[in-house]
Amino acid sequence: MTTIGWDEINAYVDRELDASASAAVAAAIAHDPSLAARVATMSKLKAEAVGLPAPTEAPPFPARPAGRRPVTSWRPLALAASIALLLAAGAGAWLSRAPGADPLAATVAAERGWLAGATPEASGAGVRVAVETGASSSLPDLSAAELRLAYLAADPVSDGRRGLFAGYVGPHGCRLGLWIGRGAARSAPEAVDVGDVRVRRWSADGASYALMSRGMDPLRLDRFAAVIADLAGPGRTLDDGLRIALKEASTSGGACTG
Amino acid sequence: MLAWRRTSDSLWEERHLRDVVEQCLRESWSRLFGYAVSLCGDRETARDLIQSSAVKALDTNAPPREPAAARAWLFRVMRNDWIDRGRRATVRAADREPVEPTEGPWAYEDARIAAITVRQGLDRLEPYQREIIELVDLAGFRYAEAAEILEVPVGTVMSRLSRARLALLEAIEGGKVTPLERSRGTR
Repeated sequence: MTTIGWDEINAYVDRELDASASAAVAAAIAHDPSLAARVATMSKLKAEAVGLPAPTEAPPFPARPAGRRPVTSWRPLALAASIALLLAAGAGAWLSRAPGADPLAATVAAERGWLAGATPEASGAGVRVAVETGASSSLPDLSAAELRLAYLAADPVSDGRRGLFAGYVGPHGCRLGLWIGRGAARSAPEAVDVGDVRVRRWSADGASYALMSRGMDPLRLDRFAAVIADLAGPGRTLDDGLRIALKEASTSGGACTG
Repeated sequence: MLAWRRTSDSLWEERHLRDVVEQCLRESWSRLFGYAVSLCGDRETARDLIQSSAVKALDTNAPPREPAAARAWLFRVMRNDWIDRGRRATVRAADREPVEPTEGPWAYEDARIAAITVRQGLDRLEPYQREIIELVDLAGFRYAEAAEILEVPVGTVMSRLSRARLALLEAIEGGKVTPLERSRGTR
């Protein structure tokens, strides 16, 4: 009688034996009830293991991190000028806001209207202005993705962590917001959605960033977050690679719904 | 013009490879997490591990081009990440010489083998035993792919897997995987 080892039994069940070895096991099974029982048991064990569902508590898929491409003329430091201008231009109605609020959550709450398609309000907390030029040397140039800068707002948080919210609009009305605030430990973009607003947040070089949208496909938002995280890197310049990446991001995922 | 074209092509190539990795990650996310749990032994550490490994994978310069190879590579990236966190002692435990199962007539109550008992049995295994079953049965890797992930010869995968399954059977049966004659006398 052919001796079939335990390893071979498992390999037979896994269909990992070559044709001749597999035929030898099959022939042995026909003449050896004990071997047949082993194979049956292992087949059942494998079938049950294969059918086990994957765990459901997996964390959210991370947004694609920044790459190593050289990239931008835009600098976080340059944003200080924009913020200062905005704060100087408006009287600080935002100063009355409750201290200690999470600046990102406060920004989402404050800009939900704009993200939903509303016209910028002249009054209310913070400083809000419509931007006619479509671009700013202090903010990332997203024109390669056909996104034009259309709106700026000073983040209405009064605890000293105030930042800037820049609103971009696509050719079909898709709205994308970029928030820049005080920095935290360096981190890659991750999804931190706030209600119906999809948010991708990351930190780098002393600044925190959040990209947000209500109607943009999550995959597309992931891509934009990765590219803009690249743009925010120190010493980066907006080169062909990033323009291509921006263009790619603008067509990834499903269509923007507003 | 030609220089620009070469640059553009290489950029497209780089982005294509990153897309392959991202697609594989998305498709394998749940199974990768299952593998992370089998490595770490707890979900909290596993969540941290899979996130960290995903970032590393997405930030790699030259990932595999083919999706199947990329998938195995992702599991290896995560395993290496886990090893880098100081789990080498557990890895070395996997190198212990496996023990051949008892030969002779076979009597195992196949009726005890069900999804729930298999799941419970897996939880009782040593991490290195759970890992190989996770890779071959749950994640569906071929022996050669599992060998690549574990960085061991295919023969080692065969023996490690067969011992792990025996341990799983014993766990399910409560240590009653015995030759037929003995089991007849005790049941």
